[in-house]
Amino acid sequence: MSALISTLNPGLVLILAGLIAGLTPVQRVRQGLALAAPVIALLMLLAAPRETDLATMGFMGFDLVFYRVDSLSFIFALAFLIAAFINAIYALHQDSQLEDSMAMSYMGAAVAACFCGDFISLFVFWELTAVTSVFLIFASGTSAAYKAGMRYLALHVLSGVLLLFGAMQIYFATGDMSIRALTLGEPGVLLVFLAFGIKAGFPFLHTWLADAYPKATVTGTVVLSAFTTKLAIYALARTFAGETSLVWIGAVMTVYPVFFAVVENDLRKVLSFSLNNQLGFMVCAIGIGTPLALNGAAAHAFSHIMYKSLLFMSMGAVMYRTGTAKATELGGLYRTMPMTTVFCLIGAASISAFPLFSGFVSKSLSMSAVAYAGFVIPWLMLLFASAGVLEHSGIKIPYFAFFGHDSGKRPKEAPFNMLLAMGLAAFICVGVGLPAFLPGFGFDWLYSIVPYADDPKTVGYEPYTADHILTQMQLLMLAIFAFAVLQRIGAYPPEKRGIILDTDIVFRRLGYGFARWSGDVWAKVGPAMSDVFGNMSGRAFSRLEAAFSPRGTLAKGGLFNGMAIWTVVLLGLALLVAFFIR
Amino acid sequence: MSDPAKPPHLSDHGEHELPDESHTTGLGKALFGWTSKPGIGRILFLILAVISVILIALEPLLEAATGEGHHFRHAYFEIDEITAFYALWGFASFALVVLAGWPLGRLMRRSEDYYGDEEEPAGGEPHE
Repeated sequence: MSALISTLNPGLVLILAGLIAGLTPVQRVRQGLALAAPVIALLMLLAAPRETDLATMGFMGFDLVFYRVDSLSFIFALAFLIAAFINAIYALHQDSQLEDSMAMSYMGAAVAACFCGDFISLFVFWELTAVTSVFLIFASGTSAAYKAGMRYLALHVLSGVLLLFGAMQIYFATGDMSIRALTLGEPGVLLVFLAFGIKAGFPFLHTWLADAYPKATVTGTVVLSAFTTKLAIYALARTFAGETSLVWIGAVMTVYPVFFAVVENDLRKVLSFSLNNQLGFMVCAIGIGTPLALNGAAAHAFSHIMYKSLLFMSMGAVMYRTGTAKATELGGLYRTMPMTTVFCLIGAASISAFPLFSGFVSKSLSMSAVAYAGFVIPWLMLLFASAGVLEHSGIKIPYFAFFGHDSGKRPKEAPFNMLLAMGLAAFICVGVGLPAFLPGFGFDWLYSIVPYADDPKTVGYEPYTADHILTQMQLLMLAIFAFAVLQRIGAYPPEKRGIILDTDIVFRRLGYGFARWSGDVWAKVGPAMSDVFGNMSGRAFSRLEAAFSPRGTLAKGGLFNGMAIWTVVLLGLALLVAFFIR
Repeated sequence: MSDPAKPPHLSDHGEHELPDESHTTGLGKALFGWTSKPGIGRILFLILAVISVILIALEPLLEAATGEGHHFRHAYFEIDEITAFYALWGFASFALVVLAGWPLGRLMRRSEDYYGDEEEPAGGEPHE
């Protein structure tokens, strides 16, 4: 029995719990499953031996590795399982069979994917994260959420298809399906790169993130924020460490969300942009690829999962109590939600990388690694983005929700289970950020679980030097001072209702616009041609109109509904390629 | 464009209309009550100004206190050897981001039903 358990990927425990939860109408049972599954999975992970293939299978000539633990997968899976436990507490008040089931399966798929040793099993769990998580968006029940969910699903299924096509090409070229370091330029590698890029929120592939996350349910957004993107970071670290283009991609990723976040009104969307910005730091570090940089990326991912969950939880609590997360509708909530305010401030201090908080000890590893590698422009961009993070996550979120202009709203404090979950996350944010008063305490613990814990540069790295504390405080305090100056002279742009355009306008508006335009052209040109041809063009127009008009076939999911269908077709084709063409 | 909202200012606290404090919890008052005291905006501004000056002044002081042949700061590049580089960079970055919000808001903000769907986020009814 124990031999069987030791070959079981811990992610499967959560997936199994999710399946049972989906069939269990009793809320108490589902609560028990949600709390117990991450604990059991964690115990299994801690007991697992490292660097050996624990579960393998020969399948149609491929060597599949279902379960293999090493130091890189360990830190990501550990963070995922802690987040899963915290999320379970956060959602205890909620009685939703579908959401419980999908959230558990989704978290399980992400954990399981960390332990995959080959591209085929990675692909299976990669797709599973997409098709389960989309229900957390659908569960809001609004039409906006449905459409955003379809766009999300289309891009994520596409990501999976690209991954599988890429992996197949790699296999045909090298005969090796194992997940290993890849080099751009070899056949199929670009497809895998793009597949990871979609999930990691690369520039122009990022739109799903800020589009879908704020439209998920209160608890759904918290769950979503931890897994999908960090799984992509893990995959990038495993395959593309040292790929120099990632340095620039990451640096750009840190910068542009800052500008979106400053004008955005929906505070959960601000946090989504901030999430995209934080991913940039990790991507940049992966591009550097030195042990110090990869340690930085992994440590940053760990602390990021904790403080980003914390921030999303605090905004979720605000939304749960007030029904909105819009800056224009909020303000002055500290009066009746002081605990939530404190937790939000801890999250804000952590993400802004104030000394004594987790962001300070994790972000500095990657920042130093970028600087040691001599990338001066990306380093300056990251430094700029650090001030930008302070603007939107450090100041804007707490200020507009809990302080600032009094909204007159006097909601009750968040439910106890939400406070408990936020408290746990806040404890971790502070706990791993503290100086190492004792060996293994504070940041020393975090540095001991990073992938290259015995790297001499990491072992010798001391974040709490007078130099480092002073420069970081200069950066942050002068940025806060800039906020105070701009507020006093009235130069801080007021929050206004409205949405902010993003590059997804290309497929959200132009698809419809193009169909209308070509329809108009046909309608004008058509009558000048023969009747037959005219009829044909008329039919073409009415088809286009039927597909793209607001009342047409695709109206429910916009252009993306069609795309989702097409990607599923492509997915089927890819599977055929995978199984029969050899 | 949507309705012009009045920008909330730090100096707004309590100077115009006193907010209703009848529901404020004891903890809220104890921890954050000071943020709505009259004139707190000016006091905070002054405190921040003083902290900023101290943080900048500390740098040459600590450099002078460091022994001969050593440097207090370990700069990575030439640009961050400048005294108070981080302070300047932080202030300038923050100001740039915030001031960019004016033209960007004009350029990119659309009404909430621009894409034809109600952009009302999830959650809906408040849970009392």
